[in-house]
Amino acid sequence: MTSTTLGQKVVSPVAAGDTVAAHITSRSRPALMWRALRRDKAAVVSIGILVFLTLVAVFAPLLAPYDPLDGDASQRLEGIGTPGHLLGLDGQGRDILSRLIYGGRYSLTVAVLPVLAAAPIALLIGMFAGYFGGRAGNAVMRVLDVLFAFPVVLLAIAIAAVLGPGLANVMLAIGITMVPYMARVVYTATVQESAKEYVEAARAAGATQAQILRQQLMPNVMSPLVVYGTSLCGLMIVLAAGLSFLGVGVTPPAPDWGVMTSDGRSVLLEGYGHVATIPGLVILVAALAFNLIGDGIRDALDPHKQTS
Amino acid sequence: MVGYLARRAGSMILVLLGVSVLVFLIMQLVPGDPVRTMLGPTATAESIAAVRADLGLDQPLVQQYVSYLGGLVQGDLNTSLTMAQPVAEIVFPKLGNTIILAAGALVICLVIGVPLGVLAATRQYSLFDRGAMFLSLAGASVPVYWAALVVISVFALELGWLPTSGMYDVREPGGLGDLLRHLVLPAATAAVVPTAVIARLTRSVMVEALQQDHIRMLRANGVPERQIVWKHALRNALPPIVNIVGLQVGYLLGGVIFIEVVFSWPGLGGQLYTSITSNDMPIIQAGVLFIALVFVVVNLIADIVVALLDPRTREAVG
Amino acid sequence: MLTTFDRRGRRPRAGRLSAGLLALALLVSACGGADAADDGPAGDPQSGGTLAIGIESDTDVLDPHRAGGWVTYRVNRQMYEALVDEDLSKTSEEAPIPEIVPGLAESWEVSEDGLTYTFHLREGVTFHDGTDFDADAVVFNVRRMSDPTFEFYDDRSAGQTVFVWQHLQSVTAVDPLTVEMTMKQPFSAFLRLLTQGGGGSTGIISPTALAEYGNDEIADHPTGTGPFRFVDRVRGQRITLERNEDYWGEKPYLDSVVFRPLPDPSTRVSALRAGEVDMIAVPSPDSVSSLEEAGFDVATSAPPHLWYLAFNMTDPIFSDIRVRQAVNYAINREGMSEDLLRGTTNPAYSVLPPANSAYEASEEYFEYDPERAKELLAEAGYADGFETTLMTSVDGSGQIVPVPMAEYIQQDLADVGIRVKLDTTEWITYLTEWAEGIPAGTGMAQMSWGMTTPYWLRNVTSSTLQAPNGSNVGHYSNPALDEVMQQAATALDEATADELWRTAAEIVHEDAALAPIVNDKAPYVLSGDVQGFVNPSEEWYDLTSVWLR
Repeated sequence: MTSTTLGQKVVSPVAAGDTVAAHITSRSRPALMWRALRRDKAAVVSIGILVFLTLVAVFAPLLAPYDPLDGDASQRLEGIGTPGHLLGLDGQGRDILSRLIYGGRYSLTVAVLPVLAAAPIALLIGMFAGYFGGRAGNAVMRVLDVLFAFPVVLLAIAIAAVLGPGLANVMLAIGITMVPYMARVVYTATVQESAKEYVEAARAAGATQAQILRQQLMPNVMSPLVVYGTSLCGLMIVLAAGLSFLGVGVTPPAPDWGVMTSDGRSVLLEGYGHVATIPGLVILVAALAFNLIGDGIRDALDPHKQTS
Repeated sequence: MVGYLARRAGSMILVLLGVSVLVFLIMQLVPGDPVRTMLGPTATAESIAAVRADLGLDQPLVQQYVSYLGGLVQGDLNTSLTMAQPVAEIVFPKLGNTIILAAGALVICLVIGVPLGVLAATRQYSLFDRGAMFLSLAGASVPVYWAALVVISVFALELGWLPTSGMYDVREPGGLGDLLRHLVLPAATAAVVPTAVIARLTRSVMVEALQQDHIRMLRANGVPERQIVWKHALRNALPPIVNIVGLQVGYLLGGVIFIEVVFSWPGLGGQLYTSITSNDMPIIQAGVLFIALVFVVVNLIADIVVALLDPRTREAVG
Repeated sequence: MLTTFDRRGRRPRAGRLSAGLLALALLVSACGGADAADDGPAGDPQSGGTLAIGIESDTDVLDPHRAGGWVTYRVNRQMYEALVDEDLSKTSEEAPIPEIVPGLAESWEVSEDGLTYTFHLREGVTFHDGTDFDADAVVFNVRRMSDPTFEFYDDRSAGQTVFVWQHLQSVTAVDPLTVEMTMKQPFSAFLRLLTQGGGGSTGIISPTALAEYGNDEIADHPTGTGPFRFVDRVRGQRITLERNEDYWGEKPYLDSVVFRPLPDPSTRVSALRAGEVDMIAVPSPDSVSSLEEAGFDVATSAPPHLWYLAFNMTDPIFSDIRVRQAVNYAINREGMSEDLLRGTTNPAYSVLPPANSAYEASEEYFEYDPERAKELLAEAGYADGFETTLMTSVDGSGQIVPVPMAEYIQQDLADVGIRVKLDTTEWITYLTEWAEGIPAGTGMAQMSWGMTTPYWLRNVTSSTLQAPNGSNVGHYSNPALDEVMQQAATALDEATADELWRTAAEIVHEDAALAPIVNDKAPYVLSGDVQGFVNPSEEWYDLTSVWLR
């Protein structure tokens, strides 16, 4: 590899630092992957947890014992085990359990939607630059280099500051921030795959560029993108929570888990640790579950592990 | 090697130029008028217009950017809009503080992350391996600002071992010892995520390194396992580790903002956050530019180290 | 149960989950520690020591004319003095309004027509750089703030202090110790405004230093006449002052004072608990009682610090007076003060903040009555309520805890059918957006403010000061009110002025143009070692009487 510029290393801004694309070279298919994933206990449990949290969020109105937005200030900050309030009450006297149940609607959306939205854009940019290369491809990657040199958290803050607070804007901000990282993963995979025999064979057989891109390359570069995207979901929850903490995230009184955690910070050291700790732990569990699933998919796609 | 360095330096300048353009453009869109902030609620429209003209904020955008760039080339970073102080006097000390914090965190990452990854790799799929990898993933999943408060409550308030916040004692600002005491908690908290990343990457490259033929050969020749792992295999695994460490510096420089806020660490991250929201363009420009510069330089160094570690290029360079 | 937080004597309550890992907490609970506060007889004041104060944000520039905000004035005030001063040695109970007392001027006269102010300056006062304070210094400073033809005119200083100098015609040095200022119109609040520091203050800077360092650099070399002199400032870390040994008045007991910016409330409280600072400003309301139990002293006061809502008068819904009255009736101010804010505020019913001569604690207006609110809404045609937006900051100087307070209001209004969306913004951006005026589609905006003169009311209600040309952010306009306030502002004696200001306040109440919510008690928390601190009826304090045990 000549001219190793910054971006040529595939890396998550935070969590999954592994060089994802390098591990995934075989032509995996979803069914194959699923079979391997099922053997990974941690991944299976994680999927179970996320399915559970999603169902709880979907059926929140049926499950939540109280209105998540309506509090009784005279009961504020009562602790775990308060009669009628299993997980206690927050600083406005709102039922924490009810807020957690509704909170999944915000936090799980924040985890998944930005990644889903960024993926097609990243796919387009990465495959274009990776397959055609040349001046245009190079130019695209130089622009990405600029974004890489820009600290992730600060970029997200700046975009969030431009857009103003609110759930949709937060997702847009962190989605935009993730595009270059995901595009880089696609780019690297595309470069690797393009050099392979099956692409040459397709070209020799008279396939058009569009056909090669769509039918040959796309399925193969999707795999690393899926792995990487899953591991990013966990990061999204934590990053969105951070933006809420700085006041540029989801707006109170929305029962977003990040908002709840940052709400509870001011009383954390005053003996009311439950207000921040409970949602903090839920964030931990959800983010961890996404990360473990990401790990599981990577292992499932890893040829080394499959053969061993 | 010289040609390589020249090419890299050239692309570095292009990247930094791009960063400055990007910052400039984004900040045009951020709501909030720095002059209004500066003059407060009793200011009149005339006094605001006068100050705007004074600061050149009524000029066309391109002209504002060009005059900024012109100043930059001459080493003039302009004056802060909200603090009426030369930007250099604000940004450089704070950048220094952030670098101290990031460096402290980096030391912790390396001391813990690399050995953890190596040990996990030598005991692949063992309880230790699974436990260490699970813990590192969990570490990467915690909201930092919450973890920071927990750390303060335990180690500073309850145990009283370390100060709660700040960089020096305010009554008797001391020397290095005082700084180190204040550094431990924020650096350790900031290190959690990068440690996890480094440990996981180290593990995966070490697993591969340990499976290579020449390692098997060494083993067959009766070389002690400890020497095989820590000397031969780790050397082969080092290049990607060095690369990822370089990239973690980038994460730390921006990501310590939460740590800086909770620990009242007088760093650039917290300053940039305030400046972004108050639209203090000169500070943001300089702050982001120098963070990017540090990041780019660190990664250049990482690449050079990698090149030196690689026996093939080592010969060419030497 | 986890016992992490019990050491300071708080009751471990069933079900309270403290943060942290169980193992750590168990480890920790075995370890004790000494209390930071130690109560005992105070004894006689003694000199010496360094007082460390945890302040709620880093300060603006240390240039009294340019700087804005209470936080900065609390520092500048220790170094700089104005011609007249307020007596801050009494608590709010002893002196509900701080008395105007001589500062750098020993005495003054106001002409019969209220147009000429003659100040007789104190003799033998020197600046921190050793130069003499005299009439020329005063003229130099006033021209810096008000005369565009002056070499050292500074438009930022002028912008900040325009509220003081707006009616100034001329300033002259009659002799080395006499300064004469003439006004374009009588201005009854002038002397009081000379003592204010919320946005720009009129402290006198050494002309020699100003000439040497220039308008920008003077902030790094503060040179005043005050009881403390500047030592150094490390941004984000500390501002250090030391005793001015040549001070003309009572010299401070303290050797030095360090202001330490600790913007995060939890960090601030932690630093106090750990003994890293001796006192803090703005404790979070929930920390006050546990700090008191742990032996810390809490000093409160009744400064002019009103947290209020302004209504958007151009909004189709809020232009209806019945809607504005309904909102006023629907908010449980007692509940907010007692439950949410733990008694760190008093419920506010008057649009005039406390600590000014026209203030009356009027409870006849808008006592909590949700049923009345619903009736009014029904009369206005909103029996099923409506949707609107309340804009608020998330933090900021004097803002108390804006988001929880806004959420509290949101719930109270929901009870009468008004569905409120919160538009939250970081403080500095908020200040900008607020000053631009409440935007269309937004019904209400909050702010916390006040001055020790009823003249303040004009800032937020005069039709000539509608945003963006002033702080009347709701575009409230009532010609009758304007007329009364004009008379009040130009009245020649204070009694007449006060009567007129009370009439003005009554008009604002009748129009329900604002919704006063709470008056902050501005608590400070002090370790037992800090003696002699007085929290007066102002947003700032004097440190000359403070000593350390």
